[in-house]
Amino acid sequence: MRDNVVIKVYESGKLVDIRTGHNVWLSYGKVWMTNMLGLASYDPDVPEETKRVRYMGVGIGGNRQALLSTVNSPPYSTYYPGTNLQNKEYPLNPVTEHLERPVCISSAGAPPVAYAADPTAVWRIDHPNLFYTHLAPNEMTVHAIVDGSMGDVVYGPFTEMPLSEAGLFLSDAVIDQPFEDAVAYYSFGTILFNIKVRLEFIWSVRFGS
Amino acid sequence: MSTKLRLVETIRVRQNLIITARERGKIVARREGHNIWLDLGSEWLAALIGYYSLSPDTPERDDRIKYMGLGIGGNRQLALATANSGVLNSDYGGTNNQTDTDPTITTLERPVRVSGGSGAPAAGDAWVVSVQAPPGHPIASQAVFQRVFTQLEVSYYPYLTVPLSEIGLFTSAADPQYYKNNPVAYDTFDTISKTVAVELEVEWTIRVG
Repeated sequence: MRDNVVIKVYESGKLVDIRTGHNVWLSYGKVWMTNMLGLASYDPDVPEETKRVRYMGVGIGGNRQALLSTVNSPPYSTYYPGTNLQNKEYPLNPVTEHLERPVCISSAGAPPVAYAADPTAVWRIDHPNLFYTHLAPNEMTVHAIVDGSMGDVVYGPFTEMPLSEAGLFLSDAVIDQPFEDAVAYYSFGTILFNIKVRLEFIWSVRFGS
Repeated sequence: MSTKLRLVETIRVRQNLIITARERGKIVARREGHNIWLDLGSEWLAALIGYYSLSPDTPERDDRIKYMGLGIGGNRQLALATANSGVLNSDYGGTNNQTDTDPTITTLERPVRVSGGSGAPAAGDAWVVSVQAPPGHPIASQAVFQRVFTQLEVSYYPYLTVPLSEIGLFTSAADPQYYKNNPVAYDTFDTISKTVAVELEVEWTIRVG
């Protein structure tokens, strides 16, 4: 089966790595998808659900994090504390609902410490660094760019960020809240992100009988 | 029959479809099985879950499952002699080749009116009719679409005995007055003869996960 998540890693504009794998669709995504199918009432037609896939977020959680000693030491453990237990192959133990250790894309000042409230914090990739295509008629593909040269993720005390998880989020995810429910989750072997690095996520949601 | 949307690498849409025929309240026929989620259904879902453009967010498609339609086509038609003679042959003519294993099907093979007139298709005919809204959710990751075809639906003069053998599920993009709408799901089943004494209850479950 063709992989549905591709991460292209560019360093100083040059493609240096490509990661591929499979996501897991989470309970929140299954319920949302079910509610997308039907109408609550007719004339006028009112859908049961109107939210759509809208954002992508990244983090340093997940059990495929290879630099545990790094992420469990300051400043990572100070700003983004947490565990690295989430397993996309078996998202029930622990139950996976969101990113385990999300990282901030940007904020007015330094990143919030230990996920403290910060109305300027942006926890997810948004337009114009996120857009959609149909690589095949039966799939919807989200393209999301995380660009170190634009100051994404690596700012404040961080010059490097060992990224190891990502999630897709719906349009109701509040952009300044770190732990919003995800519909799909992907953990991957650590990518050491810095200001020279640009990541392009190509994340396909594919349907079939 | 039931449909299951598997949201891992490929979201598989599987279904359970149960058709029950009652005559004066007594069950006289029952068909149960798995129908097929069509390529058109996968394309619809792929366009439904994202946006055509962002800021402002504009959905690519906003139609939802709304209609059900019946026919006398499909390769499970057991009453070919009836289907291919008289008014059924002249008004609902065609072949009986479609299977419920072919996802490329784009229409019912020999659709029949639920209500309206006779002869050539005309304004006022209803070829597909609304399912119950909202759909049932016996569990959060299932949607159940139901419709009861009453005694006087489908089987009205001059169609006094209609050997039904195919069924489709349609979105709100369908035009009820048009006879060749595009379904998202399809099934062909061993013939149930619809007469004015028969009420047909259809329960179509789509499962996610």
